[in-house]
Amino acid sequence: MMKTRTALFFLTPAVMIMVALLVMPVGYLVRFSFFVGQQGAQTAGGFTLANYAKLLGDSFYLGILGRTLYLSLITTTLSVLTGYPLAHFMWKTSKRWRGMLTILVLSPLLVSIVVSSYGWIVILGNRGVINNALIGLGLIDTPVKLMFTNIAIVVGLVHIVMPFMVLSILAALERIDPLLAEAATTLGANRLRTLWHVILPLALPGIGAGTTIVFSLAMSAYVTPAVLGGSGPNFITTLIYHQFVTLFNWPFGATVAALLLSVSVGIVFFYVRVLSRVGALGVQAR
Amino acid sequence: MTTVELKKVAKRYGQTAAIDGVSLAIAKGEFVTLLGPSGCGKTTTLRVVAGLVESDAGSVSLGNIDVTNIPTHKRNIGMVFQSHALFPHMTVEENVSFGLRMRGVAADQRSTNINRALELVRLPGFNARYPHQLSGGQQQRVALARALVIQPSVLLLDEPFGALDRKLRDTMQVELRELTRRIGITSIFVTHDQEEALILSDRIAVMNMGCIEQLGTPAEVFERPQTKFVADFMGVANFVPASVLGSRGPLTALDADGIAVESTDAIQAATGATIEVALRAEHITIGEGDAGTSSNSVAGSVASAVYHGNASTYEVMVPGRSGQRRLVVREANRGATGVRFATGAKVALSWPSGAVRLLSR
Repeated sequence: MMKTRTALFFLTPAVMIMVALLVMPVGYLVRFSFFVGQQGAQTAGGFTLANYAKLLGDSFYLGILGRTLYLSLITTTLSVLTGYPLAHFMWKTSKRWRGMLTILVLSPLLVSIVVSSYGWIVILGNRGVINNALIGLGLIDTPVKLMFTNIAIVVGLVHIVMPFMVLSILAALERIDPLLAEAATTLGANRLRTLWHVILPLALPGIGAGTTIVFSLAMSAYVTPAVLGGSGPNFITTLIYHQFVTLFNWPFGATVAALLLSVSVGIVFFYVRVLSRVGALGVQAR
Repeated sequence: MTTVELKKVAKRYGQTAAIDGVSLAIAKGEFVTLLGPSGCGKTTTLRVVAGLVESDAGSVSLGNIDVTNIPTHKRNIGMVFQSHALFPHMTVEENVSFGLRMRGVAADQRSTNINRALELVRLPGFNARYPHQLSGGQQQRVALARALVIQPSVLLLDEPFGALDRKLRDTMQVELRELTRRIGITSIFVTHDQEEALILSDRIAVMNMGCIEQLGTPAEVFERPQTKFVADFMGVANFVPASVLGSRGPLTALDADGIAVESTDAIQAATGATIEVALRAEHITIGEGDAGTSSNSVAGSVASAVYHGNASTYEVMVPGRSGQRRLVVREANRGATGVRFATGAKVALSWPSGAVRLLSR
């Protein structure tokens, strides 16, 4: 009894911060989304479902939601495909290499996202590193458009989410008994089959955690699509910003934000259910 | 017919030699144990046979085929690890099935073989369990079934019972002995436990500092150790430096630091040479009174007496030429009297000439 009370005592600050900074704003947000939407009006009050009807009935807005989902999925897939080999290498390599690579992997987090996004402009721009190199080599005559495309957004996002993917997978790999790989080879499995039948299934909890985190981060990313995606709303987060700040239509902005939140939560919830069904959350791994 | 043959195998890690010229030939169906303290190279030797460690020099052949440059997964070996190394995400059946699947055995043939292997290790019907649902002993049996089901040309066991408690260990040793003899599989077993080696093996290779010090049957290694290291590892407690006096009929006479000793061992060293006399604690008889003047006896006083239950161990100080010398004596307890001699008691020690081993230093 005493223990429960002590625990409650220590939990209180954390719970209060969560309520103040998360539950209350989200509550307000949902309430705003039912106000009458009006350009330049901020919050006009009243109650209407018109915002939702407008959002779900307009292919322009649904197109942006679809594009956001699509680019987030591409980002997640690419970060698994590039992050796994790196995590595997870090797992196998010497302590020294691993230390240096860890710093390298964490480097996107050490620089402001704004700065690293502008860094990508230097690389991807019409007179950027890539285009200058290609023109200099005589491979192309006019610059290839890289900036303000889906490619630019995905490249920027993969760069930023990489640490979360690599470190999640590495944590799972480190829990694998290295003797398991040896046991597999004594039973006749070559490296590839050992990887496929033994290592990957056991790394699945890390891949599951990594993809969940990365997908959530990509869906809610703002700076990268804003800087690398060009002007105008092209991503769901930039649409929200546009509604709130440019058009002053707070109720409609709140509606888009509520939709983003429910779609993200819905997808992550469904994904976690599937992962635990196949035992990829470490239920059977140990 | 030789199944496993190592020729002058060597492996260095930096400046230290893990194994330094190990040669060993193992006959088909033979059970050979590599015995030694940690760091003696026994596990490295086993891993070289498995191909998990690449040797720097020498060759390994399995079934008369040189496999020195053949990778582990093509060697057709079965290996059992101390930590079991069962795949945690697979059921017992999937674990045992793994080696068969890698060999492309058809599904219906697989299930027959799996069930036979599980019966062999006395775990029939455990197919659908996961490793974490099994006890340590059961896990080790599954690991054994997984290694045996592929019908390997050699079974390699790396301290497989090291993680099991004493009682389970004893049971598993008897079972493994019976099982390997019954199916006639060639086995190499690694352990640091001399008792385990004696129980299981057809032959024991005692290893020290990367070399095989002595290779022989359990009785040979235990009763006729050739070096002080082997004798010490086999539990001999008393070593006394001695100089050879010469032959007396069938016996060899020695002066062991002032104690007159006779041994049935034939002498290899010249008269006057200094060698080592080894004497097991349990071969010394302890009694009351004076020692007399004959060979193989000495008087002393008890320095410590420890009761073990089925035996008592005494440390007896005896006068030697170079000062007091400590001899360890172990006596089986027959009565219900505890230790027979208290600390400080004057006792006489004697031993038969057949128990005295002469070791070149």
